[in-house]
Amino acid sequence: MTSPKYLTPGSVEEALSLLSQYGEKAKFVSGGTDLLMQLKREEAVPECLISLGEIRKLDFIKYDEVNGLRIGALTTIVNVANSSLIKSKFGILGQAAGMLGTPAIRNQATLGGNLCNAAPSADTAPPLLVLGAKAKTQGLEGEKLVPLEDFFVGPGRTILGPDHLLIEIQIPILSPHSGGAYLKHKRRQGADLAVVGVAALAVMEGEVLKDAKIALGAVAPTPLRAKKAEAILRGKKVHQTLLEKCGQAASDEAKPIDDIRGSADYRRELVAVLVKRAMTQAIQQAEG
Amino acid sequence: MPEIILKINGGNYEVKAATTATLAEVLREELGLTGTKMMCNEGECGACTVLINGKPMLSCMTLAIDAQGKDILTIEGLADPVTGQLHPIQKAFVEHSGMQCGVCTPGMILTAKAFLDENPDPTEDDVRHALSGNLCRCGNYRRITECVLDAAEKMRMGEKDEK
Amino acid sequence: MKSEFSVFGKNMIRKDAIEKAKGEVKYIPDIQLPRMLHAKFLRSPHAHAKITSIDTSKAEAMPGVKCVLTHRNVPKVHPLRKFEYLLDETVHYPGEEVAAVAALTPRIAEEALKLIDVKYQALPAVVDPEEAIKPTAPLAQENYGTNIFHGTDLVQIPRLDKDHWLRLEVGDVDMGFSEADQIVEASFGWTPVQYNCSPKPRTVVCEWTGDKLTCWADTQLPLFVWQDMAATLGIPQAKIRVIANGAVGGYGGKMPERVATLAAIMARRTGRPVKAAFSRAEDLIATHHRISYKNFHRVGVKKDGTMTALYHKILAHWGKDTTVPYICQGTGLLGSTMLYGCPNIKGETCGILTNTVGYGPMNGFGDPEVIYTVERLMDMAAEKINMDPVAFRLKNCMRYGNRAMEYEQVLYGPIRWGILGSDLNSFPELIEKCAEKAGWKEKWKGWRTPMASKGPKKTGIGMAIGMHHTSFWPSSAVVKMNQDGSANVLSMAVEMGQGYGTIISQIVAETLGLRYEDVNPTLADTGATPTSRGNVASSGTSSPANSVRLAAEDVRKQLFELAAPRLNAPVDALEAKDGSVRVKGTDRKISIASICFANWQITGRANNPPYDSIKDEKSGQVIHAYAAAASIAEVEVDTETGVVDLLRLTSGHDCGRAINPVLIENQIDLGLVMANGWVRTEKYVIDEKTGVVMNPNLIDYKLSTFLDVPKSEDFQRFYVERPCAWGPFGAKGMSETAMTAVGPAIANAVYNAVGVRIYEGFLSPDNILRAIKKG
Repeated sequence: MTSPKYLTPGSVEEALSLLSQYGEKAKFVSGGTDLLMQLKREEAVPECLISLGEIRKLDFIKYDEVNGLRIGALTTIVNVANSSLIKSKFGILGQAAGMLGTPAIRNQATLGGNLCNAAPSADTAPPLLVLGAKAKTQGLEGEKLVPLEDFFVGPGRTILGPDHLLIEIQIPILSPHSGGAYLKHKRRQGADLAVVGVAALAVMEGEVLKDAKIALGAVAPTPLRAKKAEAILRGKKVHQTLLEKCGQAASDEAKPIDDIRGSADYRRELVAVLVKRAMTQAIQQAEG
Repeated sequence: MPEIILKINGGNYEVKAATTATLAEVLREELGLTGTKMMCNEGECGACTVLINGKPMLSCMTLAIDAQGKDILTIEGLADPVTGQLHPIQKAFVEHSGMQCGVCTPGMILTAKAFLDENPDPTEDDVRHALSGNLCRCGNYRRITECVLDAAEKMRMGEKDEK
Repeated sequence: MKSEFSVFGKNMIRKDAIEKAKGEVKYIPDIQLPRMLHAKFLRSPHAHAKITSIDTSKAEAMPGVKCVLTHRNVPKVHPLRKFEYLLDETVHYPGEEVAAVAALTPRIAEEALKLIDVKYQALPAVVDPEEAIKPTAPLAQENYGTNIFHGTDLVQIPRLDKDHWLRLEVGDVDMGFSEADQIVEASFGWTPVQYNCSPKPRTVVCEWTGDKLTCWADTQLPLFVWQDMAATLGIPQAKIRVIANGAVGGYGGKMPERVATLAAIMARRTGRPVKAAFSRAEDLIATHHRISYKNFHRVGVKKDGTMTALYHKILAHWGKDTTVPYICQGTGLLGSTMLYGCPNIKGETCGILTNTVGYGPMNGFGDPEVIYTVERLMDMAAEKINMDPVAFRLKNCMRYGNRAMEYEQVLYGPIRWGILGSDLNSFPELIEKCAEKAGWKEKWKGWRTPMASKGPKKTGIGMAIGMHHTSFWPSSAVVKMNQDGSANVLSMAVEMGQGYGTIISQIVAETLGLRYEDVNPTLADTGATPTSRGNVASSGTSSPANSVRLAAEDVRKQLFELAAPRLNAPVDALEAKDGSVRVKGTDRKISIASICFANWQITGRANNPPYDSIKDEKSGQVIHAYAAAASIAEVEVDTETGVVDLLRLTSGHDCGRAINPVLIENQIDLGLVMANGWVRTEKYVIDEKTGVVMNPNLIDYKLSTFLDVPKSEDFQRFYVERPCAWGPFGAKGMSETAMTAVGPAIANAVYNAVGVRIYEGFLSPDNILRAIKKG
């Protein structure tokens, strides 16, 4: 029975230096909700726990008209969900954050934690993907900015490796007449992880859908963009049949598995329906 | 094993605990504060809810060592320590039978307290959403909602009286 | 009716409300004793295997470990008369206990388990009950000869036929079917397995003082635990004290079973108290779950809706359990004759053993599992003759005079039918009121006609009826008067949340004219309270509470006899009111406190009369107590995803007399919410090949939350009162009845919405979508 070392670095640099010492023998504690599940299941009892809670400068939500939105990795999910700034300008992200877990979990969980845990079903991932988010990471040699699409490598794995920290998420300004929606299939009305998660972003130009972005969660090893489905809609005047075709295409791009939460077949059906609906809602929001 | 200091219900507690010990374990096993109930130990039921800096948190999903330096309120700290007077939410639960087996009750009451402190005039829908992370296997959801709304009304009236 | 009482029938504050609101109740897992050890269990990964070797030496040598038990060093006894031994050399389901460790801390005990080296020889296993009934199937119990239960040396069911099926017949079904205008039949899928999910997992604490044992057990049946521990430990019951205060749930048959005796043995060997507390995962894989039935029904009806015959074939899945499930099966078989007054009913059932965790009683006790399917069949029959489903139930539901029996007679005989009492004339009233409150007339548009369609979303309404027995058993109680005129009520029944301690205090206060505040219950202690079975089968109000009422009357008689000479009045001129004994119609009185101050030996005691002493005045037949329910559900089904939203639920129940209306409503809500979860969200997944539970956690075993039940104005329950022939003041137990009509009402509402019958047990979105696409 080990009682791991518990360290509380006060800065990113300090945290990175500790990380270089311990490498894979260390685990970060951010909100802690995913880490504690791993500890309880004894999936990994690390030699060292590095608590990031002291690094308060990673807890922020900032916006300007040029650079867009920046969210610090330690920002709690509840703050993302309740931010009036996010609600008004990047509503789909606030919407998804508000659907993550239960109210108490949202008080504790962080945006960085949700992304670094890299569950294929992570609720914040599909919205961030359609918003064109970038992940700012930092290692001993400096900072990097990585498109979120490249951030996820596999179930539970990111590009961070044993020597990088996620610092913040950057989201560019949205075009005018943008709208978004996140839909999540759950096994009950109460909290659940996504059995299927769908995010859709629509940018309208008159009657034409100038841009469409679709991202899927829980139906592939990582959250993914359904680019073929997007292409069906982009630049077109949207109608019901086209939306259905788009949904079907997204369903074909998905790579779901059978597990106790749902069968692959059922998940594919849901992708088709939820993509159609999410895109419809996104367009309505963009037009309204 | 590290020695940690936890600020609970206004008092300081020194305790030795493994770094991986949860706040729930420390409260219940080391400090004998068994008012915080364990129902699932995996963050799914809300029974172990305590207030940390005023916010509902799951004590079974919080490292005790991480809870240092924060104000922790458990159910034992809710009634007035001198007069023993129950908090209005506790009173409402007592008067209207807001509990059956009582295991979810401490977590339910604390979550409701934090919620009403921020939202003194909620709708039924607001209450249901705020408590949606607290499971009641005895199915007392409707009654609990009634109790919280009743407490909210009493608390608003109580403030009016003070004004 | 209500004005004649001062305490009875009122919403008195729960006796345990304050301590529960303050978190001060010591539930069994909260118990901490000096020098207490913690026990953990090593579990078999195999469904069926023989232990060829087990080496505990490293575990025993680990610092902090105080005791290790295996099949080699515990007595060869059968806990609860089950087939299995206390620790068995052969294991019969994945997760079965193989060894026990007691250590200074739970973490040390868990680490020690990892040091126990067990070698298994896998035996042929059978997991699927439909495989298990085939003659070529591997034997789940290797020495038993078949997988169909036919009794053991320890458990006999006399009424089993030679082919091991249990049958019950009333009237002549062949004749009945020949008289029918329409015959409708259907096969349904297995009813969902439901995990009990008591708020506290199984826990027991054992401590010896000399040669006497105290056992704090989280159980609703202290009597069974007490008997069992005496038998397995080989000591007299008089030397064992089982205390079940702080028990929760139980939702059906909650007992620590072999764990209690193992903890007691470890406590004795170490000379220290031992706490054995299951984790939630262990509770999920190693305690019994709701019995599951696969049912075939056939019903014959006349054009005017009269039911002429009903036939049921029930396959019951028992898993590895060879004792408790048969009670459910007897209940279900009898229950299938008890919903309707049809004169010709035949049912047959068999119990199937497999190598999976045991199945058994859970809220409803074998009735919901048959009502869930039969009520769906009844809708099919009503549709066949184009009759409104409410009208169909009204025509056929059981009423006063309907034949009735106790489920134990179904198992043991003799078959001596009694009748239902006049309280069951509440059933039509319930159905009509339920329809009225739900707005049935306006909302029911006819068969295959949803209430509304909006894009892919369709709304439907459906109804069902239900019932469950409430048992009248031997029970005894004591009411002890204290010198200040306050009273303690002693009863072995358990307060597990339903409010038992509260209602018996109301009964005593009412009977003796005491203030409610002056009555306090002492419960669930085999060393201190007179015996009753515990709380099961919705019997609390009917059985132990009845003995409390009689004991209070005994006290009253003693008070009157002492007061009469002082008041210079005959005993029958006296009444107990407002804390005094007074002469009726005068102001001559003596305070009860003053009587008790001088006579501190006033103790009332009573036993329940035999159940068959309660006879119907008109016919002289024995009256059996049942409770009835009617539920109407409205759902919205998303026909593109299969997702069902429960929009409204209206549910009516009868309770004899409401002792405490709020508590009754709370118990009804329990049944409604639990039934909702049973058929819609609580999916228990067992691997088809290995029998291993795939979701031993609450992340993937989804209970209903606030958001999964309708909000208050759409979530209505009500009750009607017609005094039962027995039970205190005519009250009867009704909690489990609430469970019985909801599931089929939801299923019938789904059919109304989407026009496609679902024969599956579980109304999950994917099952519904599949049915819609097929249909």
